[in-house]
Amino acid sequence: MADTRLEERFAAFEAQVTGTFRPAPITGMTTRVRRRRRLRRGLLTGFLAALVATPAGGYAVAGYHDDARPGPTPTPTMTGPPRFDPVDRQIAVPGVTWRDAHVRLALTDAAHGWAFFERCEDENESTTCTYALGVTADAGATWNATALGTRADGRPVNIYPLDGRTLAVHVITKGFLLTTDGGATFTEYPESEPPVQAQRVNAGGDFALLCPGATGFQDGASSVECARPQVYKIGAGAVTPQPTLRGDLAELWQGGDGKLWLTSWDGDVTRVAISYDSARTWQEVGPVPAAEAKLTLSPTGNEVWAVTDEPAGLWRLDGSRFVAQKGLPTEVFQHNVLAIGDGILLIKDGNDDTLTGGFWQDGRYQELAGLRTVGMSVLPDGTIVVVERGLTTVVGTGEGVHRTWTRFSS
Amino acid sequence: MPSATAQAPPKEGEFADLYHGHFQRLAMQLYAYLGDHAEAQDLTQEAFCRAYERWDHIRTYDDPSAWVRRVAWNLATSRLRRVKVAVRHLGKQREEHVPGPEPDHVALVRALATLSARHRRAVVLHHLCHLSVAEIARQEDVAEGTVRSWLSRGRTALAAYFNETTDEATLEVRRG
Repeated sequence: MADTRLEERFAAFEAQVTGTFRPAPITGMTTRVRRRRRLRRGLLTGFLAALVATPAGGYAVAGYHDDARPGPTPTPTMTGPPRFDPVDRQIAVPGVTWRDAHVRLALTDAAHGWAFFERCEDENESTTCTYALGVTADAGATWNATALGTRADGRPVNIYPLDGRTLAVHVITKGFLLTTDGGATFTEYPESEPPVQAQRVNAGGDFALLCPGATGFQDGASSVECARPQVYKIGAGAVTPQPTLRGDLAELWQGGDGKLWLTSWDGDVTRVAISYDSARTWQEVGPVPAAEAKLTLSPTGNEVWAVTDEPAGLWRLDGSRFVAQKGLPTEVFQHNVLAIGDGILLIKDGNDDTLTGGFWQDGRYQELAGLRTVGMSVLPDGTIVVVERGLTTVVGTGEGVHRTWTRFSS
Repeated sequence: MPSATAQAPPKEGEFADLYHGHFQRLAMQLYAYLGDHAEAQDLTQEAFCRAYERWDHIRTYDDPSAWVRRVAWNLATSRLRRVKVAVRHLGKQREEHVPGPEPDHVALVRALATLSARHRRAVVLHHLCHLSVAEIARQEDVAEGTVRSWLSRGRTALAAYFNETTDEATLEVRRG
């Protein structure tokens, strides 16, 4: 049922607030643009100065700029420009013939994944959705139907795929449906007790950073807040002792090698701690010499990068120090910089009009010709997943920048 | 001989139409999303600054305002990720007080703040930006069904919020 009072509130908001902002004069825009350009040049100058001042920087400068002081030269690994040339593949799940459904493709690795079909209708601004689910074990060449049925119908859902046999469907505010046999059967779980499999997918590993009392699936009005979240081992509770990293705890990552990475924001730096023993002890490295940096780990976990986006900055962990890198596009968003291994980063350009993306390696960014993306991700096995404009999904298998691309559609 | 009414350079004239025609509206939308009036103004200014920098290119687009809107919303999303951690810090210093009566628009901002970022974003894009479900889906790179789900949840949560606060206010009046 439509909430006309909500519409009235929004209309009143619009009327009251519009006109309360003060845009700067256009003449001031030129000054602001010049200041931005000076900032970018200044950052580059400062970066080069920092390179000269440090041993690692000395190496880098010698390798790239100073012929009189020869040093080891990195072996070029980008041979020929990468190409984005997907082959089309249709998602055909037996018994699912909806022509107007939208499909969420949720892969867990290059071969295994799930296709979640949803068909929703608006009626007086309320939503009624029906769903179907398919599963593949051969990179989408063939699909099998599942026994999801209608248990989730009519409610908004989120899906949490763990592997080719395990997937949780969160029927929001109602509970969870879990399959561990490839969709042949589903078990129900209450909203207050999400299955550990869903928790692992949500957390990206076996550990999570949560406020006491939170499940990780609450949001909005039901979210749990606290002054300092805690590190939890999923299925076991809060770890003891808790890490004592200074600052406001920001994010927890688990690498493919099992190591845990914890960050905190502490003024002008981002502090980083590592645990090699499942959160029993922590060792601090760095810090990243920038505020509010975000980490990205390669799929194996042996490469750790830190990224900022205002202004754009990139560091790589070398031993126990974060070493500044060059060549990042000037406009990126830190959540769109992803480590894929072999010293390569997958980047979606921050220029939202072009929707381009590409690869960064050894201080150089190279656009992937033909790519138009609204979002990208990297799976634990290094498979790249790209969502194109138009919301089709393209999967890039293989290694490095030269991938085999497959576009999936229903 | 120069004309009596010198025309502004094309860049300034064309850009000015976009700038003055869309600034208030875009800032209003970001205010609803971020809950911070000053932040909304700053990010809107930054988005237009970037458009100005690239105006020779952007002016050829069918809808330059859509470009500015996308940039502004991405800046807001990026900023919101930082706010999530900062809020914990602020929470340590939160004072307990009884909120007094406040303007309606502030009440809506408070209500929106209780939603998750996704649901709030969908609600603001639909009800204030007046984007269709399909347009929101394209911008957010999700399925239209997902957008409808977000809208449904967001609206339900907002309605519940206002019903609860109305009930509390009624109780206060009765106690008084």
